Amino acid sequence: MKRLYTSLIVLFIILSVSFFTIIQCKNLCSEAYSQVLQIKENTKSDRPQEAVAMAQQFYKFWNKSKNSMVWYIRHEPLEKITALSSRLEALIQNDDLAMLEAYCDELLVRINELYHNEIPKLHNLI
Amino acid sequence: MFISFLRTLILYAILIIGMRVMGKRQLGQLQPSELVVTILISNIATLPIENSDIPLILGIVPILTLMCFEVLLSVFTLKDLRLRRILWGNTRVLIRNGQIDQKALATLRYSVDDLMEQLRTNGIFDIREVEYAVTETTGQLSICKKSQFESLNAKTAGINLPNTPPPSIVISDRKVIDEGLKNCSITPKQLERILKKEGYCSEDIFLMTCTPDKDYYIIPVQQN
Repeated sequence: MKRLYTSLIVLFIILSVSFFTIIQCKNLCSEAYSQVLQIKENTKSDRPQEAVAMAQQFYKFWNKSKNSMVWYIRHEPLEKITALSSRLEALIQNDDLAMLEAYCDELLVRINELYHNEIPKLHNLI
Repeated sequence: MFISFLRTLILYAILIIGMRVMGKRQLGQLQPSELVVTILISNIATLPIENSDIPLILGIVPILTLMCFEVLLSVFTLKDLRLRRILWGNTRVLIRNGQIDQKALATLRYSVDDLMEQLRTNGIFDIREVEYAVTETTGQLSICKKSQFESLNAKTAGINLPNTPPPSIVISDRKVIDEGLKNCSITPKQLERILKKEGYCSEDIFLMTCTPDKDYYIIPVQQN
């Protein structure tokens, strides 16, 4: 019976932590998504100073979020987003709007995929 | 490289703990589901060791999940005979009253060579000696010999021998085993007296066994 109770407790912990990670991933990805959208909007509305500030804020935010997500998400997709986010500020300052928009779109796709790959949907299970 | 080293140690510790939680079943004869779990766990454990991009928890969680479900399954099969039969199958009698059940052999896809090999592994070279042969759910063959071919023992020779309980280990590699003392109903003081009588102390003993009848056997530590 001891083993049975131990197994049930371990399973409960695993399921609880799994739910927590999904919720955390959702919150962090939503925040990251909205920040990238804000950068895009600021650039389109010809507000480069605000776009630069937003890019810096997003980079800091992402580095902080990554440290908690790295526990349960493969490092490669996180590192790709980090690499992309590090380029945004330079692109805004150099006024390379086409490249910036491309990078922002790629960031949005990657952030979205990051979250959707964590949800236990059928296409993830298969 | 140091990361691989640390990951290996962590996973090794978790596997050892997990094997203890799953219990002695895993270490003995494996049922089909237990074999599957053992193979899966060993494969999963290598993934985070080989690739440091994979978080350690993505190796630990599947391993712990498999272990927990294995324990749950073994508890359910303990209570439910039907589930046990579905998951682990049933024993089959291959030789009954000295006659080979050829239909059972065909059902189990057991060739004559397989049968003879299993008999030889059990120390039987003449199939005529076998009364019953049963194939277990683990695939092992259990044999019951015909009475006339059984080894001679005290009962068949009509000799009355007293029951001798098995000896317990009392000292193992210089350390006194309390459970062994309890099994032999010996107090530590009594043990000290026995050792003093033999001219030893517990630090000099490699192995000491004893029965409840105080029949003891001592192997001293080899001096280099």
